Amino acid sequence: MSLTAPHPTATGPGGGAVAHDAPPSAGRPAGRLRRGWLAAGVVAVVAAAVAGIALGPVDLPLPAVVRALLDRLPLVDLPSGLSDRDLAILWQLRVPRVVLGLLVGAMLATAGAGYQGVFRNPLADPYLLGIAAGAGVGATLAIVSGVPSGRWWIDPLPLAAFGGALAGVVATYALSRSVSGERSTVSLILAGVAVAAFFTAVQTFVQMRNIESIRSVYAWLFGRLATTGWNEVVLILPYVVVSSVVLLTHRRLLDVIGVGDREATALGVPVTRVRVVIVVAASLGTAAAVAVSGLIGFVGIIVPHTVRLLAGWSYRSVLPLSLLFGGAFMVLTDLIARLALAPAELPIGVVTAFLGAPFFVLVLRHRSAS
Amino acid sequence: MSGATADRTRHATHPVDGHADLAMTGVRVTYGDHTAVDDVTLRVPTGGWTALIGPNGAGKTSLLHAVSGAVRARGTVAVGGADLAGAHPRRRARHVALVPQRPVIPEAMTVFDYVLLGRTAHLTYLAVETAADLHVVTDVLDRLDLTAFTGRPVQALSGGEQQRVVLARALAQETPVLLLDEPTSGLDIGHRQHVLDLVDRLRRECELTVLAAMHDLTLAAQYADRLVLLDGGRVAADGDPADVLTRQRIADHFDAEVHVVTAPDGGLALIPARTTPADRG
Repeated sequence: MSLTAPHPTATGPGGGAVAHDAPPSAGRPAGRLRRGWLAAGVVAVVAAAVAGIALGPVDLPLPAVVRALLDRLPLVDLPSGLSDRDLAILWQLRVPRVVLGLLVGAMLATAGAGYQGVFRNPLADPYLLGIAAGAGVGATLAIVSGVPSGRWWIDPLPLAAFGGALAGVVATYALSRSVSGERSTVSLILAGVAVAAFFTAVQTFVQMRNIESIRSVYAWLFGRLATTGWNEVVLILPYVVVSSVVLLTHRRLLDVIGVGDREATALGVPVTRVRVVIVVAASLGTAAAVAVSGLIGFVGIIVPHTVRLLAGWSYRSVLPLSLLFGGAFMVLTDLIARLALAPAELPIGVVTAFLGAPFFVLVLRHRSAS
Repeated sequence: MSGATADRTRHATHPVDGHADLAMTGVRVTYGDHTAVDDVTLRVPTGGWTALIGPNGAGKTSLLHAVSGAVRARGTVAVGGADLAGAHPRRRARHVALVPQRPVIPEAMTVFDYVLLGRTAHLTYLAVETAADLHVVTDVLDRLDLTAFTGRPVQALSGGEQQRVVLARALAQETPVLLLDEPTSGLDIGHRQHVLDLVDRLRRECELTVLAAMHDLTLAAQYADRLVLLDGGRVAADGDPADVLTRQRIADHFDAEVHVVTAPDGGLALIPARTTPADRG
């Protein structure tokens, strides 16, 4: 990922641009991605991935797991000593599940940060803006209409979810603007609640009208992370890559938009175009994530806010670090979902809501105070 | 893109070219049914300082926003003969820089990063700043005596310091035209003078064309070489401060009673006249 690599100016202007002896904080941007945080993000991803692969109902010894993983690398020959059954568990169950968790978490967190940037709203989240609910309706309609869900690069399920997601975010934004005119944190969230409730009602109605396919809808809505294989990984990978690349390349412009539409326009940014591009990209990624994992809320709030608290306000660090820590967070959350009531599994959305709802209140309180 | 490259490498203190006339023709701004600016035609010559005066709601801010592209407007705006109507925001922002009256300052953004926003117009859509951009910012901060504040959050600064930082952002845009919206609002008398002296110095050093909405008529008369009185979105008077600022006009357009006096240095000063009896028993 060259995009997450630090820009040459990240740790100081190159080529002796600042002639005078400046104190460490002077003469260079503060809102840059620091190498230390980037390294921390990579470590978090690796640690979460190893934990997610090693832990589970079947005990796989950690050294053997590490050896088995390294064995797959080219030019490395390390017999792991695992049995064929253990290797099958490792490669057909654990690894794809962890990879999918990384993709979904990274996508939801990055999309959340993107929405927060273009709406200048700290509480924007794919779940709270009605985007996930819209994606749910789109996917449900695709399932009950019997469109064959193949495994080619164009699978109708994510596309239908994408259409629903866009409908959700457009409805929420339009409703909020029509109510309050100017952008307001609370009106956007209230509009999102209304839109999400409406879409959820539509979804339930469609499900009840098509009772014969309700099982596949529910199977899709919950626990898809639990029944995943490599197919789902292949299915959403292109969407996640395209969406993340688009979001990350707009990190500087999101900082400019922080000064408001009018000032950003006067500074030279085509604000409407940036907003449309970001919303479409984030909704595409969200829809793909929802299409394979069901409705998982709050990741898009928890992760970007924690990153902001630790590594600074700039989207130049918030976006790439949300990508990394979002993936790690989702894998660890999935681990909790698997282990808390083992051998039963909690839906992963339950765990994120359990953590996310109090977090949401904290952000809201901080917002009201400032 | 050779023009963009030239812009980027140009040193911040380097004088801009002499053809920086700002010309507005038939500018009109409407918000729904309300017409804020109604068919304004104005020309500000290169290196001139024109002050927009007028009562609250006269359309001063809307006119500045129309010139900067912050709001949609009818009519044409041209700098040095280059038509900016319908131009891409980036192209427009290379010609005019706006110092808003109440700028939005993102929480925790440092002075350096805030001033760096001024380089936006010189970067293509997805580009990141080069060492040359950082150099421009360092240079502007130095010229405005802001180097000591470089790493501080803008929100932690005093009103006068913040005003200098916002001015620095506009200067980092390296435009021939500077638009100021009430640059002294909220400042005490000393800081007002300092900010306006600073603008005047920069105008001379960089041959900037200045169009400023100014509330304080005395300061407007002292710093601007020309006053344009707006009322109801239209130009009501235009000319030398001594011609525009008459007792009758102030009464007509501001509904205010003032004495217009000549200061010892030859400038004009407005003294509000009390309209109720001074002693209330």
